[in-house]
Amino acid sequence: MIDWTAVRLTLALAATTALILLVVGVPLAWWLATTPRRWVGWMEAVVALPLVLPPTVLGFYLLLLLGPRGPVGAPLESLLGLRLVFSFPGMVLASVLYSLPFAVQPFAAGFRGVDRRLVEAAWCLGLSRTATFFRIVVPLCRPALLAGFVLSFSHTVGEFGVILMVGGNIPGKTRTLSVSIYDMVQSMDYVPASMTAGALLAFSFLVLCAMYSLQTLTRASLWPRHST
Amino acid sequence: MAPTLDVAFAHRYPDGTEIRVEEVRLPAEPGRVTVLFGESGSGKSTFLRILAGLLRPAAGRVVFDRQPWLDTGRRLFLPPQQRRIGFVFQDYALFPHLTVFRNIACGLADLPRATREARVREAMDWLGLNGLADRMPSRLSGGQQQRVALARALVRQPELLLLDEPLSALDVQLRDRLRAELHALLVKTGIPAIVVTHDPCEALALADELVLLHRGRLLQSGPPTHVFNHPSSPEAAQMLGVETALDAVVESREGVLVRIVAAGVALTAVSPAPLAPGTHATACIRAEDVLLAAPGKPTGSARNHLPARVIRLSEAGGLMRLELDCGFPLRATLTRPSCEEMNLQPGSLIQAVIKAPKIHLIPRS
Repeated sequence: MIDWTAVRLTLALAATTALILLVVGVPLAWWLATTPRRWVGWMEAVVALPLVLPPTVLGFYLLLLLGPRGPVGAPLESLLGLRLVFSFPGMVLASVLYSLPFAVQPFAAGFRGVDRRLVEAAWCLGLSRTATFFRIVVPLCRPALLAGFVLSFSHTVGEFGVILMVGGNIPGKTRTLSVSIYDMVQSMDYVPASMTAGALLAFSFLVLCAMYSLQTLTRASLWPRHST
Repeated sequence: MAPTLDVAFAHRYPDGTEIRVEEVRLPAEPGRVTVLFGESGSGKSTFLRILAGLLRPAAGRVVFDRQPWLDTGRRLFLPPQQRRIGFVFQDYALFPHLTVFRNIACGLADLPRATREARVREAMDWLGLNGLADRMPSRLSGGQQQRVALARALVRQPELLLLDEPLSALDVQLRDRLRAELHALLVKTGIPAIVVTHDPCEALALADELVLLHRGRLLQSGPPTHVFNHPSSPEAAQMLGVETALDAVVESREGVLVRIVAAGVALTAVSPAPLAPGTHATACIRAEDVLLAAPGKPTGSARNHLPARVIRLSEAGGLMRLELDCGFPLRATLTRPSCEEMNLQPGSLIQAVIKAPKIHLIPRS
């Protein structure tokens, strides 16, 4: 049968990751979108790295960094008694890094698509930079923000390699859905494996369908077809 | 002292283009319209963006009515939010996700709700936008979008209005109609306005003060008819494309034929637009459209025969340029052989002949 503990854990991980990426990714994407490209090229490369990097490579380095003897893990453990590897916070951190481009790239594309003159018009109307961002830029970028949120959420749901490296496979604690499928296949439990896999496939497909139809609706309300 | 706008700046773009305007003082009295005129790349948009605070030049100074807005020497730079300006963008830059009402109200967030709504209603009423409050910008015509952009800028009661090519986003017929309307509106606002354009007709129709910009330099500034009639350099004359521009008043009209009076001289012009008697207009005459004949009885089909006296002759580009006095200064060009045949000298009395369709009328409000 489907491992419902794994379902809950996966959804909690995906939601936390997507929310953190919304908070962290939006300012990062705004900075990337508004700074001249020649200055931010290297930063864009860093953000995009998880797209091409094998998840095991990222997981391996994170494990070294965060491990009890790692340069980040050791002080965290001795000062705060916090151990990130094989724990939920560690998985969240790994997912945030691994899904970074799935949030930041759509956000930045959305921000770049905002007509510069609209921003300048807002400034000339006395709107501060912050007010301009929240009252003009964010509403205009709603489809891009939604896309980034949904993509990072669904990408986290389907994550496997990084999770296995950083979180391990502790039932009820770090075993996510994709890891549980792997487990089931290893132990030749093909029926629950195919049910879980089928459910994940259907979920991913439905989420993307919902996202694209929402985007089409938003665009249509902003830019109705002209009768010219 | 009448309010003025003092500007000087130098700015270099990454591609190497340099825009440099030496100290210039523009009038900034209520309702006074200054036109920055030049082709693309002349620096007129840079000028406007520096006034707005959207561009920070490498070096420069902007003082509006004794308030310094920019002084790079003192590291002073007021951002656009602190300048009390109204900016109307070329394609109006209306916020596509906000209704007309909310577009106009956008700059009034710090006012109490009731005051804000009253101010927006007043502006909409003033610009004839009633009934469009809930319309989205994409559902407005070009003329309506322009008025919403104006309302949005005016509702904040700015001290200076900046307009970037305000008519270029409109189709040709609408542009002709709105030109005079816009001038009347700008005067009625009682706010000094700076308008950028590359269209000489627009410059003449709107300007109380005309500033010529050419390749990143300020060529000349002054009242438009003065600038048109006394270009200070060959570039200025060429830019304007019209050698004579006159303030004229329409006297009567018969079909497309319009009788006008300019500097006390009666002329006949052709205008496809219906111009009512009493309408003020600028009459433009190109030098090559002026024919010369021996003094005496008017002959031929042309409607305008003006007794004239030659003031000055000069050679330019293989042709002779003549300055004539026929009650107003008139420029003409003719070939050297014609000039010799007619034995023209300063002081010669002749007849200037202009066909009615060659007098181009640009109505002013």
